[in-house]
Amino acid sequence: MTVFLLGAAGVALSFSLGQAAIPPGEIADFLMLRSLADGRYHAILKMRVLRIAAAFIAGAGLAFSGVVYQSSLKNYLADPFMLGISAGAALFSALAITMKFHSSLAISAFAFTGAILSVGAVMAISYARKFSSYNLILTGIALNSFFSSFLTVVMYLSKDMQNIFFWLMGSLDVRYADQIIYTYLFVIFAACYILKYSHILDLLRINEKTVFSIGVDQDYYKIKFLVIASLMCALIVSQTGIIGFIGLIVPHAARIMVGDSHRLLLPFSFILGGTMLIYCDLISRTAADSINFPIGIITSLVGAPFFIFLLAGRRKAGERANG
Amino acid sequence: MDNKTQKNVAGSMPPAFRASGLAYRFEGEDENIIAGLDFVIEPGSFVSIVGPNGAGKSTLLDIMLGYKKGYAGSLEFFGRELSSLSARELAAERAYIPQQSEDGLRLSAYEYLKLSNSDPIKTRGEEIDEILEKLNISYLKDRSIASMSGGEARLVQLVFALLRKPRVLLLDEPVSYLDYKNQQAFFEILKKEHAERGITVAAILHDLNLAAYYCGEIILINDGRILKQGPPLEVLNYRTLGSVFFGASGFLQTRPGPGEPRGRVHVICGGGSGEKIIAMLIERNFIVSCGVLNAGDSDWRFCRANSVAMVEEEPYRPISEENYMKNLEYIKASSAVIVCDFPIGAGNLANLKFADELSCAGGRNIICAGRDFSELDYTGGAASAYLEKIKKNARLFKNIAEFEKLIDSL
Repeated sequence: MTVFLLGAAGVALSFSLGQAAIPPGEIADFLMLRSLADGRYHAILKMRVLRIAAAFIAGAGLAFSGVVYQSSLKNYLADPFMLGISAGAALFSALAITMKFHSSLAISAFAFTGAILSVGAVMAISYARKFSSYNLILTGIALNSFFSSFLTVVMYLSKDMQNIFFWLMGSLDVRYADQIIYTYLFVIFAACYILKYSHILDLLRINEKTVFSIGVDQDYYKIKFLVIASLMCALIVSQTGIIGFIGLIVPHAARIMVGDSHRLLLPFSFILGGTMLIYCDLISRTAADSINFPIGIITSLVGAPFFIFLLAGRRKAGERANG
Repeated sequence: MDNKTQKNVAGSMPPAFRASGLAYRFEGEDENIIAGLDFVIEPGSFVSIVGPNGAGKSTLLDIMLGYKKGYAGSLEFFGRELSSLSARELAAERAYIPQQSEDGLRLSAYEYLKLSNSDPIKTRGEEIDEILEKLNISYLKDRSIASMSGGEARLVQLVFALLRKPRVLLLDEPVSYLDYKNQQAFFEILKKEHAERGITVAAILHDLNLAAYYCGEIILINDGRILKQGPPLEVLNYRTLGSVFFGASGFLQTRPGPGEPRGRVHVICGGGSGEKIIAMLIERNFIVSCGVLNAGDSDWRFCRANSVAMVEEEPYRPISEENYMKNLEYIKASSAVIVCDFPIGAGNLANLKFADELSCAGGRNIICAGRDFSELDYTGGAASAYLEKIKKNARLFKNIAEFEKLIDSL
């Protein structure tokens, strides 16, 4: 409940604050689709709607897929970037930028392809051996560092280093409403689909042999969940660039707040992630006059201390720590 | 291995498990971790698998679970080859409790137990309530597993398995991390459910006392082979266990055999020389006393573990006059004295002094190790002098088999 209120407050603040502060009355008029007293505000608010919408769905999707990744991989330190999504997206978008594709749609398409290729490669390589979390994570780490070195080479040789750099740090400047609508549709559909299987995610979290003993094919579900979460995550990353930390700390925070039952944990993380990113975006736009800080920097700057705070609180509460 | 206990009524029901030549090898290794096992586990039996670490117990259980595939030989599960059964077919018949607890899981017991619901077993909410109530643990229902004690979390895992209504329940060291009270609580429930529902139970256990107390049958494994299968008293004795768990010296439980108690026997020993002899005497229903032993000595520990009456001396101290007298009392009260081959120094020389009293000990049986004691004599001849006297009046044995014959004639 508190999170809902916080979210609503975040949305309101996001509308009014920015390089131009807008009075609440105007925002209300805008949301009611009435004409505004000051015409200039209309354009700004229109931009902000897209931005808030983008922030919410990106945060929500990253946090949601973070939960799915952690539970499927049985590892609370896992995040959606662990199996190569970010590295693949980064490398391919850098290639696109270097090859002078300027439209954001083209870059997104490249990034999406890269993300899917790398996570696909990780899963295929592990599947060929043994589809264990251990194998997946190790392969992911190897591929991540391989792609990162490639990325460094591309950046080094490229004349567009600045642009690549900006893309890497993430941005919520989404130009097209369609783009957001499609992302919403896909993310919400995928999230609902996984939510339907929340009990299986609960099962994946418990002892592997116990789950085996009740006849549930864990590998099948693991692959299914990872594929869906990866698609979700790749879609977001391809449009916003790399926004780190949300997929790691929001699931953690949510687990501390509502427990491990996925029926509650998944929707809660979804909303918490969205809210969190709206606030991070707000900070990125208002922290300094005339510059928008890259969102990826803010999530890390805000996220890390917040996370440490949560962990410290948990230790005090005397709970048995795990992962 | 040949003494399969055939309790089966005219073979009307196939055994829960029948292994013949069952072997397993880890990928890329040359040696079999399990090397040709033959055993039968009858339906409704309560069997424990014991053996030292690395013996292959867990691998065997994993194979029985169907989790480790690709075994050699044959393993039948209720008459059908286990490897031919699908995960779901198996899930309908058997449940499992792993070695690990669900540490740190922030699900309530109810949420966790609800997960036992999977095709084809359906777990209803009322069933969970019923069983929690029956086991008097309803108070755990809404508690998070992460906040439970080890014992409570284990019980919840047991309930999870029972909700599957299994015909067979496999357990991998279910109580290894629990204190004594919780071990008992766990096994009492398990035993009761086993009896009520006729569940076949096969559990790996580390605690031999638990195994002996609760299980009708024990399979002792070492180095991937079955050393012995049978009732606890047959399997858990010094002959089979001593070499497996403790090498030459060990302190394990020996129990009196059936029948009336026989005479009193006093054993003079030290340094582990008395263990096998004392164990054999206990098994043959002799009332055994022992002494004088320094506290901490391996024979002392063995006697302690088996509640043998003894005269004790402080560690590393010479035998006091008082203890010597006490020991003499024991000797006089016994119908036989047994002298083992143990090293003798100034400190424990008093153990042999009873030789001086021999003249007044007419009719008492003396049995003495027949070996040459000179290499065990650290007293410069005093011990050997006593032993000469003792041996003259004693019947001698060269090894444990000869000893066995001697005491049977007592």
